[in-house]
Amino acid sequence: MKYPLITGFCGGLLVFVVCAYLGDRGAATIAYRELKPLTFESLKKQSDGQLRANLLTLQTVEFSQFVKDARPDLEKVVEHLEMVRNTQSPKLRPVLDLRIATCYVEIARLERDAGSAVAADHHLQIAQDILHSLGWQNVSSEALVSLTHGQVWWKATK
Amino acid sequence: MTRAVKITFLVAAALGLGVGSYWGYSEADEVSASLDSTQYFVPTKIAADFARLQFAHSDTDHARQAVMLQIRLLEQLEMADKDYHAKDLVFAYTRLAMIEAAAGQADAEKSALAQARTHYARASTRDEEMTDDQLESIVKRLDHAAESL
Repeated sequence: MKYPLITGFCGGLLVFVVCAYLGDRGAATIAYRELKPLTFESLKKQSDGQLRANLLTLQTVEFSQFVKDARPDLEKVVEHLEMVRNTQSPKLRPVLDLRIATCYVEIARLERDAGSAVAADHHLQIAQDILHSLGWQNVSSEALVSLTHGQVWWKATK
Repeated sequence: MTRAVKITFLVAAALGLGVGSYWGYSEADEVSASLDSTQYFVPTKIAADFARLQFAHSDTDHARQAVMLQIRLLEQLEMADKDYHAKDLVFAYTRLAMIEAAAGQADAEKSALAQARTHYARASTRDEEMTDDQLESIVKRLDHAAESL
């Protein structure tokens, strides 16, 4: 070795940086798994876990809004929400129904834009039926559009 | 490679792993703590949005069910987590009072407004009380703001 001091210093520095990076990522990954943020772990023993399950369901509803503005993605969200609806507390069904209706309104808009008026009318009808079951008195186009105002895609295009 | 260089590399690796692990854990712990302090924000927001939309569009029975769902969730959270104070209960009970008023249930309206005032007194640092009209006006303004977002 020609320059043992320089090689030792530079090599050592490189080894230090690489190991520090690996240690940082490894520790962060393990810590996140242990700490489990946003999973309401502290409530696990409360009310037989029902409260925690309800919070996770409501969280699912919120996160389902962050979806690509495309028909297949929205259909997947509807499928997932229907699965959650059928397995979780009946008390939360109306909340899930409202979100499912919102998805159908969005699907109908995309189909209308794509020139599929029949399919759009069909999905709009499904949304209107759901909203009627939720006690909505006015299910006009204007009322349905107001449902989608909170959606990310709507904000991005306005 | 000389023995001295090998030892230098080994020490550097051990130091790097130690320092990196400390950084990684501290960062995860900090983020997790900040997420924990806001963990109820998302689910309670969904319940509040649902109550608001049902109040605006549905019949009295369905609107009442929606706001009761929000109230039950907030009260259960307060019972389960002593560090959590559901300030939204003020507005949820005020909304319930508005629904009962629309349904012509004067006693239920009074009871809900009394609950709203109790929760306001508990949540507020000021001594002054809110009138029923002020509470209703705040709920209407909050609804208007949410619709304009």
